[in-house]
Amino acid sequence: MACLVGALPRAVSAQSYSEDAVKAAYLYRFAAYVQWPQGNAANFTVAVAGADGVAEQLEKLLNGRQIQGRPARVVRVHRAQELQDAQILYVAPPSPARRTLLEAASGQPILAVTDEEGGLAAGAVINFLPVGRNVRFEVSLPAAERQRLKLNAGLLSVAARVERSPQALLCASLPQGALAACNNWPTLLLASGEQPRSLLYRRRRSTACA
Amino acid sequence: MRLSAGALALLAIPASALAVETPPESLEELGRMSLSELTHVEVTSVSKSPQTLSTAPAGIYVITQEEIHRSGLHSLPEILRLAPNLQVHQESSSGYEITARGLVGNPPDQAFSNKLLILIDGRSVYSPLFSGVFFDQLDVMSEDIERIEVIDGPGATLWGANAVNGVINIITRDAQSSTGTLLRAEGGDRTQSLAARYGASASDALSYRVYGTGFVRGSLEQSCAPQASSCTEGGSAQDHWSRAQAGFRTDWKSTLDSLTLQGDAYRGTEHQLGASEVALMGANVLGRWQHYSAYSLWQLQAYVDHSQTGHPVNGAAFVLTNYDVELQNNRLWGARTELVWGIGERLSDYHLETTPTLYFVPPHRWLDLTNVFVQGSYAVTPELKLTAGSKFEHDPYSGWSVMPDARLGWSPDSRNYVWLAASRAVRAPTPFDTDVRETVGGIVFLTGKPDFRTEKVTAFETGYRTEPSTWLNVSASVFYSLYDDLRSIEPASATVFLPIHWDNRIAGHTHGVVAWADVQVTPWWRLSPSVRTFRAALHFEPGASGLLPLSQAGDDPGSSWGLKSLLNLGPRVTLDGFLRHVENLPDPYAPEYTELDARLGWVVGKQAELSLHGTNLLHRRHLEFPAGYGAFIERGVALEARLSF
Repeated sequence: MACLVGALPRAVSAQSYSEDAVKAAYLYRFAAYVQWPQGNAANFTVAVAGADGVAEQLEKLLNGRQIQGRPARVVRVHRAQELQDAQILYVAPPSPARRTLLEAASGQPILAVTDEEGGLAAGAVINFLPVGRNVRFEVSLPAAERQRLKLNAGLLSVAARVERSPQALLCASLPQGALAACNNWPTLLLASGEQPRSLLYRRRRSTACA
Repeated sequence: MRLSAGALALLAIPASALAVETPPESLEELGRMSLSELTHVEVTSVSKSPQTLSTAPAGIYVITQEEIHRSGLHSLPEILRLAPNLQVHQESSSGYEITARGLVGNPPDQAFSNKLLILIDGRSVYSPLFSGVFFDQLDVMSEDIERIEVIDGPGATLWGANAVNGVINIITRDAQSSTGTLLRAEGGDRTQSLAARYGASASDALSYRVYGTGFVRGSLEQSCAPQASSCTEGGSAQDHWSRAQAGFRTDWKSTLDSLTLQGDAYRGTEHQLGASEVALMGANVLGRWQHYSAYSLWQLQAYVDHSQTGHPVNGAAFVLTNYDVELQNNRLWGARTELVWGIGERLSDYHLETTPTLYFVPPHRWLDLTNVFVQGSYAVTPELKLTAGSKFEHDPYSGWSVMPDARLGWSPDSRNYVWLAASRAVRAPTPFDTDVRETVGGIVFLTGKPDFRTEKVTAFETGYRTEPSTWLNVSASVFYSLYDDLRSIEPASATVFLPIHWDNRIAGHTHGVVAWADVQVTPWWRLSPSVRTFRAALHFEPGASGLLPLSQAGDDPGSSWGLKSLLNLGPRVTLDGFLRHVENLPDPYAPEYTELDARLGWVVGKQAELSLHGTNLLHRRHLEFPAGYGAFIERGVALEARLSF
């Protein structure tokens, strides 16, 4: 029988929320874990493409709130030109322009968030993952570096998966003392082949963070 | 038991919830959560397009915990009356016949409701001995039920064996959601019950609960068949009974894995008019492991379920143990495709105690039921989703059966949903169909048929759900089911009458409508009307004798309706009622009836609630089975106190 599933006796927590509302809450929360390069925009802008439901929830949530000391607002975008001033870009699969938008965000100090398999490969810093009935997310450190964003460790510890550059992966396997030196090695010295994917999965219990 | 990770959540939407849209206050709540808390929030829909209506492409009604609580009911078959897509007949103090879409059986013809799958936390509880359900063996602490999903129509592909006319999926709260102490005492003229539960979290990841519950139910009044000689109409049916049950559940959850271990044990005594009492006992234990990874969910579940009844007079004595193991995997492929597949194996070891007048040959067997299923769903467009799959089931009597299923769901916008389905399911033969022998006066009168075939249904259904406004939602569905090889009874041959035997010589179709609505009349008053119609057009297949009329397949009422009212009389007082009407049973005849249940609840403080509950208030007594086959169901009143801390 169709997607009738609910046979899953894994009980729902006392309350469950719409997926759009949860994603909106994430988009709002992410900002606290990211450091953008100095900018002079008057507002903190979250650009949303292809997800009117999320945009609607986010508008309600951000109403009257500030992010990083600036009034927060939501704009619905369809074209690359509309990305100016955005600090966060959320693109969902229904948007036909998602590749163009992600390319336009590339190299800009924009936290690009996607919602599809392969989102990180397409250039996003954060990609939502449906894991059971929860919404979780994966993070790409190389993408964050490219966008000149600094990610707080709290974000990484909660992520279901963190993608690291081959260099960082290799360095992380070294003893503590060698870590700093390793991080400064010329990239040339590092093998740039396939990333050992099994290492990319970090299955740690998420710990409460502020 | 079955699940599909991606879409499962669709069902979590309570049918009676008027607006599933996240209310502003919970959005605020989400906004205050930390990232880590957000990762634990469960979402109501994992579908990609925003949905406010349940997008399950089937006729489904969800009985919520709130509805159970406000009904004042604690008995499982009584709680199932709340689902408008079920037909519930009480036969005696402890006996019920329940079906969806008719074919409830016919007691004079030894036909029983046998085309329903009931799952309690993934444990299948229909009896492999005759495909029916012994409701006296089942109890769930009503306060710990999370929800009951009731699906009318075939659900064999995903849900499991015997889901021919419907599936009842009872889901209890996990241990994390049932912590604290709860005490309940109920005293009434028909029933007295006690229940206690204690739950706690040993750590962030590990929680457990233990519970005990027990009740005593009084005798009903005897009804007499028209020509019965030695029967005292209105005398005590002497069917009072009592039952006690205890159980536990532990849940351990880490980020990507969860582990559940749960079990119950019960004992009961049922009295019978002019016969020795029946002793019931049983125990079960179930373990389930789920592993989530991105885009995929694995589940492995196993259980052992033992039950027995002793010293009966009617031949129902048996010792039965089911061993079941199932593996399932759900996987999302990109944004559009979801695949579910699984394999399962159930072994049933039974021993039937024979009596001289009713016995089974052989009295002991191992039954082995194997299944493999696969189903894919594909979002053709964000609004249109196609689901198709099949189950392949091997039963020990008739070999492999193929049960395909195809469904289409279309949600043009977030307020409307239309679905269409065509599916096939079978009821596999059981020892009652193949091995039974009945004697009358030392002569074998009835025998099973060793080559009894599966009873088959092909169902075509369509349904529509809409939420035109935040104060109104409506759900309606229509079905047309083609049956083949339904069980009939035939003489030994054209010239020799005895012994008569089961055969598969009834076919035909049934059709009907099920509809319900929730109307939030004011913020403090909700009305939920419902209606169900049923018509059967069955016929005998060539070679049938027509020894008994076609109503042997089911003595079903033509239609019924219900009206629920939930009224908040203030922050602490609720007054709720459930009025229902069931049309007469045609053959044998039983009169139509209209009855009313009502409950007045008063929340005394943060920890206590008092309630006064009445059942069948309109008349002193009524029948839900033909006279002589069912007892009179009487009015009942009870007072209940509940403490939780």
